[in-house]
Amino acid sequence: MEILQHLISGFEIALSLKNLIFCLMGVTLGTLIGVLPGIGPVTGVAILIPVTFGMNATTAIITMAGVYYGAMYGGSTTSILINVPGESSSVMTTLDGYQMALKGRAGPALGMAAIASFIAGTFSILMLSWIAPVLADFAVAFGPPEYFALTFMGLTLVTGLAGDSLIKGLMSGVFGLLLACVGVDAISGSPRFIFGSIFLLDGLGFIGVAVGLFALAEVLVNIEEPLKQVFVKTRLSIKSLFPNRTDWKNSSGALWRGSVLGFFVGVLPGAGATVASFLSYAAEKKLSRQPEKFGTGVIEGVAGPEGANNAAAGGAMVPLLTLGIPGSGTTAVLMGALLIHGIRPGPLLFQEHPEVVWGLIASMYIGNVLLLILNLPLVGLWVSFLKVPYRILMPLIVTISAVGVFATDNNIFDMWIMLGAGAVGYLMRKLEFPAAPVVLALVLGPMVERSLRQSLTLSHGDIAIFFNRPISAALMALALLSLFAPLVRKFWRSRRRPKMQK
Amino acid sequence: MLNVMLVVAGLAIYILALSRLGFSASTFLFVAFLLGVVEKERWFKACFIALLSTAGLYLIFRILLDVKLPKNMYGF
Repeated sequence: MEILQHLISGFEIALSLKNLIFCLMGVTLGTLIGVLPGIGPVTGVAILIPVTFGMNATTAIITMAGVYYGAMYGGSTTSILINVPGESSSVMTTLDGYQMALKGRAGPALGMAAIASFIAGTFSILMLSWIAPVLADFAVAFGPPEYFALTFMGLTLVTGLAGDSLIKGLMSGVFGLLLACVGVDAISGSPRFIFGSIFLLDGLGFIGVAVGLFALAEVLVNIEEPLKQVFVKTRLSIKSLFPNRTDWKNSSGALWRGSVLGFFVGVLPGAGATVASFLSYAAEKKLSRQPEKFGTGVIEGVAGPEGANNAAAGGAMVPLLTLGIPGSGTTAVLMGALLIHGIRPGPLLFQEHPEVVWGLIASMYIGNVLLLILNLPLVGLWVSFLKVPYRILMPLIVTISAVGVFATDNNIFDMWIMLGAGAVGYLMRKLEFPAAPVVLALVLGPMVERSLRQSLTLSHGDIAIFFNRPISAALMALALLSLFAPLVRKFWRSRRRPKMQK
Repeated sequence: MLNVMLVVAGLAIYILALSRLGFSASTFLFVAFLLGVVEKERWFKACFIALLSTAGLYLIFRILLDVKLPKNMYGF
């Protein structure tokens, strides 16, 4: 009942004219970013931080979250019509969605993608409003050792799961931690790694690093390998968008399985919307009575993954809001944005800033309805945006990023940070280092460090403090397990192989 | 690879130019450079889009968001 009251006050906030307008702006931009290949949700959210800088925290987070889940809707349009995923979480939608379009069934594919997104999105927000306060209540009693264990686990999970290579993930994560050390030491007050520059006293600007690492690096990679776009010609009337009765019958199972799966995958740090959609597609194929038909244009291959990636976006809000550990690049950027607004996500957020949490959650219900409207009748509009060539967009993305980074602090130095981060990000992509752990470590770094040092002060330097307390011990065990699991697996495999050769 | 270096170098020059030429002039030149040199659009089209984007960015950042953009010695 208490939750219901909070939710009602959240709706009062989210339904104010200003927040409604910015929610609409956020989801519209999100759809656009999702539709356009070459700009992902991380880039979109990162570019928006400077723009939302002048707003109050609630409006800012409502707008940026709108971009995040809005992109999940838009991504399917591109996948279905031109066989290029609008962003990585809609890769699976290309498999059956594009085939449906080739068979002249683009309408139902687009319609089902939007409806699946709506159902799964709403389901995951329901779960979020129910689980998040419970988890926050539980985490309120956390002391520094639990916090250290928690943030440490967040870091290891994301670095372990972010890329194909554990070593590269770890190197990215440690690089991010190193960047987080720049600036004044929070406990002793002495400056570190500032190389005599007064600009570095406050640390490396988060916005500069995030925009460079994601937005600029993405542009640099894209101008090197231009995207090829081949349109499937379709006439889209509103009537043609609605799936027929057989479509519904075939997709209903995929829909609810995708929703549940997506939400729980989203809650796990490290696995996000992309993993959720992969798992959902795999599950549907395995459960299907005709698995051989997958890839030829079956509607459940669209409904499952599209539902899953939206549910995951809602699920990802759970650890971000309740524990203050973002599980992916996009949520790390969202968290950085909240910190800039002076709001620290974590268990206390629900007590200290209920208006932000519940305003955001309520706005997500509204945003999903807005997105359904934006994506069903207006799908033709988004299709026409697809015809804007990337070479026209590229200069716009670069200049908006650059001016945006400048605008947050009126500081040209931040633009240099962005340029440097962009070059580093480009090289990281070329060498297949994941960028998400860098940003995550940069955001979590100060928290990891403070809780580590506070804990060690409490225990007079005895590291056992992390293993004596049950919650922190369990979290540490999980963290170590996630780090060493790949190594153990490799070790077993290499031991077994020689035996088989004998 | 050449394009990547052109964008990085162009951006560096843009950042340097901002405090000298001011926001409007440097942004116009930078967008025109990206379109004309990197993307090899025709110059007329490049300049036209550059003009529009400079005006758009000025509208968003200077007028809507009230950011103090760098000016040159002539005040724009």
